[in-house]
Amino acid sequence: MIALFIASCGWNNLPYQDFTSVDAPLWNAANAVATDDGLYVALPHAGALMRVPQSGEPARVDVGAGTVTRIAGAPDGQTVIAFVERSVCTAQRLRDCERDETLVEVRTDVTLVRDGVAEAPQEIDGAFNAVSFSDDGRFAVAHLDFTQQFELDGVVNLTSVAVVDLAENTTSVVPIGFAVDQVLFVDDGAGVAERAVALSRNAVAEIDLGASPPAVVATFPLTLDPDTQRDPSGVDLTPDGRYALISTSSSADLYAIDLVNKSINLIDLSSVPATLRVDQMADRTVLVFGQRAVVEVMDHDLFEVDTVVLDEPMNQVETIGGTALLWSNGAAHDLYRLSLDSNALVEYRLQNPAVSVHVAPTNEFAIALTRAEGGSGGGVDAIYDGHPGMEIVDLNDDDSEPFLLEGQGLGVQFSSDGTNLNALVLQEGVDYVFRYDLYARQASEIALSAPPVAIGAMPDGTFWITHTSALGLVSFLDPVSGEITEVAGFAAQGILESPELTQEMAQ
Amino acid sequence: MIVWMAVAAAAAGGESDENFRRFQVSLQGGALHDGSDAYDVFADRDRLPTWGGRFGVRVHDRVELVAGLAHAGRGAQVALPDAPGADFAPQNNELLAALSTNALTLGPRVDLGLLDERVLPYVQTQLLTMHGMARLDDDGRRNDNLGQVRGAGVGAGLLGVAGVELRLPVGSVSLSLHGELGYGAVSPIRLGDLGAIAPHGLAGNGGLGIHF
Repeated sequence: MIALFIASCGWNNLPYQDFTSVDAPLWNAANAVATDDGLYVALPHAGALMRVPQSGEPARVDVGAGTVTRIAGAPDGQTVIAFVERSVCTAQRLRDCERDETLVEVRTDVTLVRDGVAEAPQEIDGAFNAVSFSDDGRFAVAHLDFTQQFELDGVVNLTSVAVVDLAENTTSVVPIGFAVDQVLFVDDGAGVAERAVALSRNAVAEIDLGASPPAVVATFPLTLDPDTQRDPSGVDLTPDGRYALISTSSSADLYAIDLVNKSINLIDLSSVPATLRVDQMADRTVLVFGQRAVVEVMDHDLFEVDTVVLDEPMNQVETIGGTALLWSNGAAHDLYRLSLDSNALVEYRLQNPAVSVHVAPTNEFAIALTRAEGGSGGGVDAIYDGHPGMEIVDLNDDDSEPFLLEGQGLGVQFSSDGTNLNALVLQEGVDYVFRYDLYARQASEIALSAPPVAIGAMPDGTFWITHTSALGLVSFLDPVSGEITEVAGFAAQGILESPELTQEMAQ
Repeated sequence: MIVWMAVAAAAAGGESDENFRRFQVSLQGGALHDGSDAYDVFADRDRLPTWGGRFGVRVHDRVELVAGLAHAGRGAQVALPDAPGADFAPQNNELLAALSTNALTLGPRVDLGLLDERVLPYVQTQLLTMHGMARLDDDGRRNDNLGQVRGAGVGAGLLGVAGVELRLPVGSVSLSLHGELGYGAVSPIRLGDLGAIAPHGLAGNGGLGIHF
């Protein structure tokens, strides 16, 4: 018997006779928020919010009885917005609600968390799964992003947004009249957000954030024909905040909405644009077209368009201070660098199609993560075709350097100390970080305890990496020394707890 | 029930000297119900199987003081659903969850002697203290992985059962079989930050022993 007890004590001899399951993952490694005081992650099964500090013990944030469904980080690096669903019993006794689920209402509120402490929750009415923040960090607008997974339960109004004043901790639900899926912010020229522009199919609304409560001041229809649909494919604001430029997925017109004079200008384009991007430095807009091998550059004074011919159609744009990077996440292999002053074009040829492009903070290099593609034949091309890859693009030259990766690239972060510029590359299913010094062209590997899920930067420059660990594992990586601090097991907290039912307060 | 049994035992008189057995040692197995969501992590059925032993000292003709120790070890391979975003970055979708408990019980048993002390119906109440420990492991093949979490705590409870013991005299000792059924409840056992378990509900035991 003693031998039996001893044998059952080891971690690789845990007794198990059954197969069970839980209704939700213990943590969400793909949705982490970095703040000054640690990394925040949601625990879907326990419904909790967890703060994982770089040093010290992880701790749950007390958000009251409820389930944290989504979190987002404000630009100030200090505030986390948590969406909390609370099950409220509308009967006199909790016992009645435990017997009859129809007596339970699920209500959503927004809770701001700072330094591990939750502030008073603000109840909001509606379905929201995304948050957009103003650059100054003062306002957040919660809306429903239809490109993300969401669940609807009961009677839901999709035609409003929730404006959160992060400074005052107040939340206002603003009826828009249509389902909003993108939000931009307009500042007053001094960096203070004063208006929001909400977009959706067929309509755009302008919200005055300075009003009390915030309210819609103008609505712009993108079409007057109810049988026609205009879905925005790209949107941006001119540097002066006067015009909202909107491309749609079904029209070759560009909508230039004058937010000052409350009017709409239609600009003819050569084709239906895939997306657009405004470059603040050059004060010009770059448009690419998924079905046409051209790029168009538009000025913001007369809205005149210059057309530059490409070899392949592009559908993605990044602007980096007077220069645009054009690439495609389709089948194309080209990547272009376009000078917005001279329209001079440099073509790079990637071995495989890109899935994402990451520009170094010094704007000297870009890294394209590429995917394996099917192909026949032999030689080096067949090797490239069969593997995911990474290509380092020299933005001061016309060189690119391809690498084969072991796993599909998940993300890239850069660290720079003036002397070195390192790229840190995560790969799916591979338990090390590939570190590459872009100046010295030297590679090294930093071992991880488990394959990664996501990488990001803490406000102090340390990198965080989440892993495919069921019970929770976060690595904090010092980019200079390569030293890793691991925090594990935090996702088990609350695994045996069920969300609490709360009693509705007497009116 | 206990009062009735005590009155009936007093009315029936004491055991004859030749059948009097002061001590008993038994081995027994049983189960305690736990229908909570928390226990569902460790087992796919709502019962905590136990095994152990008990020791009894007869302090009166029809009253025995019984102490027992019961151990339970239950575990499961827990499947986890995909996390949001898992299409792109698959999670480790399983872990091992094991629960072990050790309960110490102490309380009186009152019985009746029928058919020349060969059949003894009885009732028994016991105070219990239960130590519980949960262990979670996200890689059961390794002993040194980071994903190992442990939580332990202690709870107190009460167990009341009614049962029958069958005795077979063999020389100066008696062999016995017993079966009992009743109700048990344990206060919440806080297993660190993991949460709490609180087994309660139908309890049943059966076993064999020796009386001397």
